[in-house]
Amino acid sequence: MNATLGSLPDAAAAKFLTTGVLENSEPLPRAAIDKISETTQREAEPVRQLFDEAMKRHTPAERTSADAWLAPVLHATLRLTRREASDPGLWNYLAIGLAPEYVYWRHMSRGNPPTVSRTRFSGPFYSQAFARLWWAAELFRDGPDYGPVAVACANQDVMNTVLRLEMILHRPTAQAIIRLLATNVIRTGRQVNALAGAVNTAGGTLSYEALAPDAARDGDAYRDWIEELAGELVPYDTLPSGPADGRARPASVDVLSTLFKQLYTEIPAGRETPD
Amino acid sequence: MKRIMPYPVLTGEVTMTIREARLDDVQLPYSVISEQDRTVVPRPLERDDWEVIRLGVQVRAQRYELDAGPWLSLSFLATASERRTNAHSAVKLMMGQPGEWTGEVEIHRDDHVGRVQVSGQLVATVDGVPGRVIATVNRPWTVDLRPGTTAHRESIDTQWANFAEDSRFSWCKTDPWTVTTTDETATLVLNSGFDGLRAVLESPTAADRATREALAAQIAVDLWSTLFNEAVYHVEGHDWPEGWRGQVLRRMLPDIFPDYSPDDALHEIVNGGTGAIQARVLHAAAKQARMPRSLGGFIRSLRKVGPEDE
Amino acid sequence: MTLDGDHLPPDPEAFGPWLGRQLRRKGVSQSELAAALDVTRAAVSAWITGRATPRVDKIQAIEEFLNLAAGASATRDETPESSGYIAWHHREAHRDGGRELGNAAAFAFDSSLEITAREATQNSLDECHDPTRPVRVRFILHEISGERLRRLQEAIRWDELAPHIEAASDPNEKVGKQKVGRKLAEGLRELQETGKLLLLRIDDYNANGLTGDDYDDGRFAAVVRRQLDSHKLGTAGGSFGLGKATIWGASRFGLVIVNSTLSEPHEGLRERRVIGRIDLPWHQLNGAQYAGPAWLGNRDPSRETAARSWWAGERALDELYLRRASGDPGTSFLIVGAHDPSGEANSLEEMHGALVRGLATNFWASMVAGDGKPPMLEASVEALCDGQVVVAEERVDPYRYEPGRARAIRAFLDGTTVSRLTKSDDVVELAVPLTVPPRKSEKGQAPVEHTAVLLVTPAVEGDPKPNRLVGMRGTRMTVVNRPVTALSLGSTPFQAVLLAGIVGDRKLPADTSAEAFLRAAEPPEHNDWKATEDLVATYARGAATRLREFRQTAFALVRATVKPAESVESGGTPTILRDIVDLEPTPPARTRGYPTVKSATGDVDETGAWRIRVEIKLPERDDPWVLRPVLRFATRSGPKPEGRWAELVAESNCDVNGDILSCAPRERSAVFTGVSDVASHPVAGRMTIVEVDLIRAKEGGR
Repeated sequence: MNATLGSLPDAAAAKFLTTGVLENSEPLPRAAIDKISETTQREAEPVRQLFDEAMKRHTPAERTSADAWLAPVLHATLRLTRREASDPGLWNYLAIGLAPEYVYWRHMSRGNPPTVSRTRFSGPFYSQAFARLWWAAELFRDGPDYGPVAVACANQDVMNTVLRLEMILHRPTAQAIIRLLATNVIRTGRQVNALAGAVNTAGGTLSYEALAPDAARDGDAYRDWIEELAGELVPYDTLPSGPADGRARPASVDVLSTLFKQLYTEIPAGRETPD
Repeated sequence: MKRIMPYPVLTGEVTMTIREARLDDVQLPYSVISEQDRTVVPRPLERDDWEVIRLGVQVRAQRYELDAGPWLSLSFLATASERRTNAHSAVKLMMGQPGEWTGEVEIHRDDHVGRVQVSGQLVATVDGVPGRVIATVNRPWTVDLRPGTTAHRESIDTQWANFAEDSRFSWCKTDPWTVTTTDETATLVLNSGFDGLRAVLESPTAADRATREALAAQIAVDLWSTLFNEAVYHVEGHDWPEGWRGQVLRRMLPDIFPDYSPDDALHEIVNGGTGAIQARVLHAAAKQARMPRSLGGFIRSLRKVGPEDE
Repeated sequence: MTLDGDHLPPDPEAFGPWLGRQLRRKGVSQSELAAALDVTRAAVSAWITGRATPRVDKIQAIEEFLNLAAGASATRDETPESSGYIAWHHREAHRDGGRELGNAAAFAFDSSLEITAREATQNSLDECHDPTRPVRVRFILHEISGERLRRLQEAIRWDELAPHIEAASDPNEKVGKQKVGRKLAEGLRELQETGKLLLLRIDDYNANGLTGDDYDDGRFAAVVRRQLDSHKLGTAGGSFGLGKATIWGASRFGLVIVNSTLSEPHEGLRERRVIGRIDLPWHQLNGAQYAGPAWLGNRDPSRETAARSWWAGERALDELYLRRASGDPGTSFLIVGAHDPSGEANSLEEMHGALVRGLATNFWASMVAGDGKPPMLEASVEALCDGQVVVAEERVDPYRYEPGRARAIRAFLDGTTVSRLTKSDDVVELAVPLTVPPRKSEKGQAPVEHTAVLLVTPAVEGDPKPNRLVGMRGTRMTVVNRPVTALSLGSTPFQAVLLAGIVGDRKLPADTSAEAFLRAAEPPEHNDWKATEDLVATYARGAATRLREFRQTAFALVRATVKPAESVESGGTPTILRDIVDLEPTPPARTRGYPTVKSATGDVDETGAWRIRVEIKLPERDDPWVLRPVLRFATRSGPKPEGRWAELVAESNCDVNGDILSCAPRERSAVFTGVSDVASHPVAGRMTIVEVDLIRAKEGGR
């Protein structure tokens, strides 16, 4: 096992994901994986400890709750730029080379035979076991505050539906949706999906960017935060601190949460009840 | 796709022009900008230490239409977005003359990695509702940051590799060419170790033209049928796949199901509803390869030399 | 009138020419006047040449003898305008029997309205009077009929002229079979059949006007009397005097009436110098033979059959459609029976277009103003029909017709050019050397080095003809217009302008030499720089080579400027594979093999439901198309939620069964309307955009 993290290209990753591997009935060839992966400078051990800790802190029955704990600490431990995070090689390596046990633990389906979806090992950012957590943390954090991330990751419909929608790339939009969730305006998964549908549909006619301007993120502060990692220990029991690259403008979040609440209450009756 | 809007929108074109590009305050030559292809390829990006590219953007809408319409509080938002990095920034442009906006769009290196789409929308208050989108840029721009990118048009990558010496291709080392794909790119790999392949393909002589074209068509048929099957494999439900997969399907499906709408055709191919599908794929690939022209030309050229040989 | 005014001693400078004119008009000789006044003929001659002034009593006698009002000599009133003085004067046939069956100059090259506009304007620019102000040219097309036509015909003595035109176009005579004869016959026929006559008036202002004597060397004689006489010096563009031939050539009858305001007085006068000229071929009428050309003017007793220009009154000018807009010097040409010699432009609108095009493509550079100075040229075109505006006066805007090139000239004039392209509106300025060899007449002289200015700027979006180099001299008229080929892959589309010879305000001796050299290199059409006979005959050996080097350098510099910073060798993609690896979307075929939504309209009603009407375009076939119209809501991204129909109603060529639409066989279109089910909306209706898709359904519906 390498001491540093590797990068495993998609094409190579695909070769290892046989049916036997997905069903966890066939071991992954670790040596072959390490051999074909390109090496990076990132230490492997602190990252592996996170996954062990996550499994220690949650029983298999509460494995979905692990997301809310793991997302902020994973984000604060890896400290990647978005450019780096866009490379699927790192995520493939984490899932296939470093911590397949965690992927099996968290994503094994109840089917017969039980199996893990291929995309949990190697797939789009909203699906891959670790990429989805990192991106949820990156897209829902409010500057250094990971609070909204914990709220978002505690709701599987946010992870499965909202995370994929382009509109949340606008930070005030993401924060306004989380605020409605945190203030209990919406609670259930169905309500989350209804709100997301309403905002996403109305977003075809409305420019949230124009209604709620966002400040540019401070790239230098983000870089500083990345470099500070060397001297820091990421806490497990409290929320870590994220990069101080600026919060979403509060006035903008206010405007949108009022608007979204209105859009939500105007959803015609009957839509929420299952067809 | 016909859309029905619940409020009046602009019918005239909104055009965006990128007038200049600066890399960390250093003016880039205008040749990095292609107005025709709507692309910016800031080539000298082999260096890793740059921070930001600033694009001088100008947007024009038809002034007379704006004057005559029911739109109030007009503003224009230029956006830079890239799905791979989930980056999406919006900046308000300044209105100069009526119907004309200018401003700067920034592309930060840390937030981008490949093809960045630069577009924008015109926003107004309509019938008392603020923030309505009344127009979007007709032809968005692409800023291509991928290293080694030189062409302005989007295309399948082509590489030469000696299959015998490259472990990636040890499984097919005697083949003349193969195709590799990732989510981001599809690559045609040509075997430089295959005797004569490079010589024929890159031959500058007119006499080899027919042979060259026939060979190119053969490569293209293999390439497009492989890509089609790869793309179909990645279709989920009714959604079109993103990136090259979607583009390959959109190009080929109309030739496979000429009397199906694209959506119906996608549905049909996923459900495998029609038999003899591979034969149709071959037909569509031959069309992409312009096979009738290339091969026809080759056969004619054979006939031409025939009598002289006798 | 004051007492003094009656007997003011006349100003000798002005009195002499006035007296000479009055005598000519009355057909009175100097001797006859001398006898009547009882003075010597020498005394009369001295008065006329301005060497002496007559005594007051003699002046009164002169006025009396000439039947003029008292004091007319002091105010130099003209004799009352009387149609009796103005007539057509035809040149008699050559005694040697020589016959000219057409105007040689008019056939030097194929003409067209665009060329007329170019040549006339070129002449005007060459004749610029005050170089600190622009020369203004104005083209007015005017189609007249009925009473207007009759009055004009009276004013130009058409009835006198018509028999000559008929004679020259008589198909029974040899002359009538020639090209000119056929053109005249066609003109007459059309005038007769339509009862309409087209006038094209070409004005210039701030130009010299037709100065000089009626016969001797000068602008007047050059334009009115002679063929192939350019009377030009210095930078002149037209060195072949073809300009006027194209003006006369634009008339079906070769008929042009001229009114000029002079920059220097002639016979003491400046304004309203008028003469007409028609260029007919040889013809005979009533037994007499005529050489062809004829002039409309005052009879000149001193020259048999010749006519002099006359000073017309304001009213006469109105009748001739030749009243000028201001006292600014310049000339107005009235082309009677105007047409496009190329036959391409026929309607007023088309001719207007042809003239604007001719002005824009040739003179855009002269019309660009820069550095706070006015442009060299302003031009406009308008079209009227019986006094009503058909196409309003259009001031030709160089930025509209040549946006890229006009920007290049502007940047040069303003001094805002740069050394390398970085912006979409940058203009790069480069130096192109031209070695001007000495003339053959200047033996032993060394060649001189001229530096021409090359401007390169990115083409504007949608430029239909990018990647061209245009070259021009001091007049800034487009001479060379060539595509630049062999560009590197990925080159920026551009426009390039080469300014050679007298460039801008710098007045270097080498510039003047280069100007003359390049003028000699221009063929009569002024559309190239090449080794003309003139060039080879005038300049020392090597002239053609120097010219070639000059052109090659300019083209090479353009290629280097637009070349991409790094070579775009496409990462090892063989050229032959480039097209087949293209992933850009292809435009869909207009006609498709499946039903499509041709039109979808609708709005949200007061209940929040969408009410929609959809027209379907159907490919024709013998079986019905069975479709399910799907209502979808557009979103920012991701899947589009589907809505349900509360109601679907067939409007034409289809049946509704549940949510399934059966379109009638063999029909090409069908229409249905629908109302959405509000309960299926993801958000309030007015916040949604809807789309309607057609999906194949199984026969009979669900």
